[in-house]
Amino acid sequence: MATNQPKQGSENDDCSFLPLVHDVIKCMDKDSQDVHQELVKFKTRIQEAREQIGAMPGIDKSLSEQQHELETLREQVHTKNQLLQKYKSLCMFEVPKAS
Amino acid sequence: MLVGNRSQKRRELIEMLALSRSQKLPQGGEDTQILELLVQRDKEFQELMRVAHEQGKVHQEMQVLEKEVEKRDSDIQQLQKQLKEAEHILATAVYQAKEKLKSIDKAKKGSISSEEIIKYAHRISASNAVCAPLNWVPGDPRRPYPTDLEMRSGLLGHMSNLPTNGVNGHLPGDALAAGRLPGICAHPSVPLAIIRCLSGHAPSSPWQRLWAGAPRVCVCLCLPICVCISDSDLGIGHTQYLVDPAIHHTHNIYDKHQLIQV
Repeated sequence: MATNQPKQGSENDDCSFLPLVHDVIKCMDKDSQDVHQELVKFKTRIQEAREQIGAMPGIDKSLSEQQHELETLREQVHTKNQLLQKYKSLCMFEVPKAS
Repeated sequence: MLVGNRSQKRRELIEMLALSRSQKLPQGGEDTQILELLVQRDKEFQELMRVAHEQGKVHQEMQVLEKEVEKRDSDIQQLQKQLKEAEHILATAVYQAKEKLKSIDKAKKGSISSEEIIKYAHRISASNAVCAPLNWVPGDPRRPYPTDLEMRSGLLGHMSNLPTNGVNGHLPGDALAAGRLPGICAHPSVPLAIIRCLSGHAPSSPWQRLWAGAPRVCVCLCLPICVCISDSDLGIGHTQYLVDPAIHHTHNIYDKHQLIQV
């Protein structure tokens, strides 16, 4: 879990647009020529975020629905495992060898 | 939608900042409000992205479980096929066993002593009808069926007073018909009676009727015109005739006046 938290922190940093907004405002305060460039960066970042969200799997359902489906699948696997175990361990006929 | 809202808010903020810079006018707490809103939206966006990542992981786990479910389904189907096959084999075996038991019961009800069966087997095989005698060689006149000679050596043969010398146990008439005796040329289409007539053994008139008590000898040649009819109106019972092939093509084959007594 300790390794997951820094990764999560970096993911949050990637999702945040505040640094980019800060850069734009700073350029506007300084009246520098890089304002346009910063704005383009900002716009590109927004577009990338849109594409990233569109490609994410499993976000068409809510979290609760997903959890419900996950539980259902786990129950199915458990039941089928039990059935298979039961059928495979049925009594076998002992065929006497011809003497 | 959230990304769209956020981008709109930022645009407003940037426009306001640009306007304030150009106009050099104090805006009060409005830009502070917009900044606060922006920070709030950013936090919401990050939270939603975190949830989306979690849902992605759950989705992966669900895909793994779905694959397991498919594998279990195929295992169950395979097992079902095997059970069905075993049931079919067992049903066939049980049916055959029941049939065998029925046959055993039936045989027990109609049981015959083994001595009787052996006696009957001896009687059947006594005449060498089942297997040739151990000392039989090609050329031996003995046959698994009664030969002509043996038939004519019996009661009926003696009653007809026919000659008994022949070739290989067969009469000269049969040998003639078969083309094995020299002297007289026998055509397969010529009936035996005609041959006998030519050789002086048969009655000369083909329409001669039988008299009561006349000897009756069954001579069935290889000709397809051998007819066995009931001559009840003559009062002489069932006998066998040969049709003269010279005339049967033009007249009714069953006309007894055209038949030749053999």
